[in-house]
Amino acid sequence: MAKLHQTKTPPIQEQVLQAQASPSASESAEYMSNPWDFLDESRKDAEEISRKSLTYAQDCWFRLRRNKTSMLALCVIALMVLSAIFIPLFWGYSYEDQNLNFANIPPKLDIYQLDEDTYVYITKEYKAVLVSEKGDLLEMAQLVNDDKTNRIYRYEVGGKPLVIDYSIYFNARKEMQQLEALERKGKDILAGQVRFLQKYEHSWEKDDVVSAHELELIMENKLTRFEVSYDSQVITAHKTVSNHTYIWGSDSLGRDIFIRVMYGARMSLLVGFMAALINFVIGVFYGGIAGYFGGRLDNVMMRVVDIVSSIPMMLYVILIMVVLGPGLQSIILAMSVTYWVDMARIVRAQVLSLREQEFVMAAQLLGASTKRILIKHLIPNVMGPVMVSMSMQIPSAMFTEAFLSFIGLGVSAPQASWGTLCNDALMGLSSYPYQMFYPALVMSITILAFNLFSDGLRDALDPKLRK
Amino acid sequence: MAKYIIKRILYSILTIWCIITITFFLMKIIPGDPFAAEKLPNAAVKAAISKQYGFDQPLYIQYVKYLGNFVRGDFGISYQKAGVTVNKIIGDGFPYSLTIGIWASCLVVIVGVSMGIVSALRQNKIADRLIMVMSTLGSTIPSFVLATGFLYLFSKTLGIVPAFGVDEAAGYIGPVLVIGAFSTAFITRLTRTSILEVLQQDYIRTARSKGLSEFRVIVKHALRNALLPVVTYVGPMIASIVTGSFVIEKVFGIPGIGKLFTESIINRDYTMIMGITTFFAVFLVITVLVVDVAYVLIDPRIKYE
Repeated sequence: MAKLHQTKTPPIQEQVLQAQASPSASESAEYMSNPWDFLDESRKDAEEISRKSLTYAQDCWFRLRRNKTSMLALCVIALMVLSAIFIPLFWGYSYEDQNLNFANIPPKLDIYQLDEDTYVYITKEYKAVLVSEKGDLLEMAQLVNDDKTNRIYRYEVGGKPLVIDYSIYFNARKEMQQLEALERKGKDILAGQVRFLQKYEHSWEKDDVVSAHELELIMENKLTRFEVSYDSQVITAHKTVSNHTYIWGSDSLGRDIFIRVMYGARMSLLVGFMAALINFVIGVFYGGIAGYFGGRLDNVMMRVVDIVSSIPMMLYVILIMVVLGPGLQSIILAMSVTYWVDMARIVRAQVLSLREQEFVMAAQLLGASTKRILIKHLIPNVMGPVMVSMSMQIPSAMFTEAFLSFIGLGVSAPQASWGTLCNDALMGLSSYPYQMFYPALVMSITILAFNLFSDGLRDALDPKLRK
Repeated sequence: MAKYIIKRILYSILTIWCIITITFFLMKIIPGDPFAAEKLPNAAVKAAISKQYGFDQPLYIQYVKYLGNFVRGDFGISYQKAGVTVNKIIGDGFPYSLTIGIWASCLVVIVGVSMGIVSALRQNKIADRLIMVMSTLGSTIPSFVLATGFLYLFSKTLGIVPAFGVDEAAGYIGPVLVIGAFSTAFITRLTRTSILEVLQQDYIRTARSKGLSEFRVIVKHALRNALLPVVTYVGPMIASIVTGSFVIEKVFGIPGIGKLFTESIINRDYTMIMGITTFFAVFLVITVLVVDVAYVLIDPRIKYE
């Protein structure tokens, strides 16, 4: 209809009306003074809309671009996607490269200086790793003897002995057990009685009464875990450097955490986008059909939706895993089975109200087929809420993937996703918190970015909702 | 009204029946036999086990039997823990999840709604901004990250709460906070948006122009209307919180129902899976039913149809 109107020349009355409505009063006065003259050539353009008219999408994009938060979020998402795609291509390690000698090395290293240019890092398992001054991991030190009774490791570096004595903490632990037994009997513990307190912590008077709980905190947080001596001299940490080999440290099998997080981003983003896409297709058509036809068909279709949504997702996941085996495709399929219901509900509700509007009736009168009405008229009109719901489904799909991986139903080793990385890190959380920190941080930032973006998108698509 | 409630109850029963039926047949079409992993000495033993669990009978008889047992509240015997009934296992695990769930729900409703109110009434002021940032973070950080962060901070570094289990009352703090975090964030936003919308209505202007005190306007006129969408969300939320979260139960070492469910899934303990699924479904359907009925009572504008 609209097209027909544009091609026809406007009727005369309309031209006159438009001319009268023109903004400049003096011009119209001049025009009125001699209505029978030809118009000046330049006046022909007076009614032209000089700016290109914006489509709905362009208008939304314009509003979205002015929203700084959501543009920032979009940049973060784009950066995340690009680095997930490209960084694994040229990074020095692959996600499955292991080096057991360099297992559990944190991103920040306390290094000990042995010689002019020999530095060593002592891991939490009291292994000595030779490092360069800049923080490149070089090799394991030569182990001479592992004295388990006295809790001492002896290494040889540059022909001289390097001794790591880790008995301090263990002796303190043993002492703690005796002290706790003492306290259980109802006796007070005096600071003077506690050997490790005497030796390593001097803020207590000899006859102060200390509780076992306080002692335990001191023991856990203040006591050095080990003592290093080189060439029979006790040495202390020289300085802290960043790990140059593994910038975010390495996991318990000596794999680079950075590249595993990036690789995990591939998995998680893939799951997020695929789930959103599949749900979009199923949900829009299902909801569209239910909403457009209404009546009994709608009732039956919506009961199906109710039933599908009330069976726990875990059940689908398990059934699909049993049939297809664990892996990415099972996760995506399981999410497709469950998530489309929300989309279908949204689309149905929108279509229910839209189908009563005049443009649908016009299309029906013009003889458009049901398929055409649905695809050409109704679905484009529900795209706003659908886009918003899609952009919210991506983070929630990533959440679910992480959750499934976290409970061991996700991608299988050596592949990594953010959920499996966090799950692996959970075991050693108290000793190696960095292994949890980086995947959790990247994941939270990405999900935050998606959430902020979808908020902005909602505002842009429907300015009425803006609060 | 009575007609509406009866209709809703019938619908709920129909939904539960559908769920049971679908779950039952889905479990049956899974390839493999739950006892395939065990090394059974001979065919006679296998036949005896099959007989005990009723596998020797045709599928429709198994189904009818299952339905009959379900109506009597009997979920059968666990496949993996020989001789223990599913009812007993659920009965052992559910109280933990229920306790945590109830506390978390209280936290969510009280904190979420009041933060939402504060935020809406102080719109675009510093309190609002702060609450919005917090609620964005709350819905952004995955629960296991929150849980491990909580343990790292309060258990390892400060030593205030136990790192594992719920033997002490302090052990409940972490799970309740972490389970409630996401929903609190959501309810805060929901309440805020809803109040802001209501405050623009004509009847609020009328109330103000009648000279009512601001307190009365907010509490009597705005809140009553603004909290309706919150009520709709709260029902399913309580159901999902109470039925437990595996991740949080794993991190905090709680022997709750979420943990049982995931374990039964990993062990392919089909009667357990069936039992817990139907238990969840019944729970969910009942909460939704209660909320729907309550909704009609709270909001007279809604027609029973």
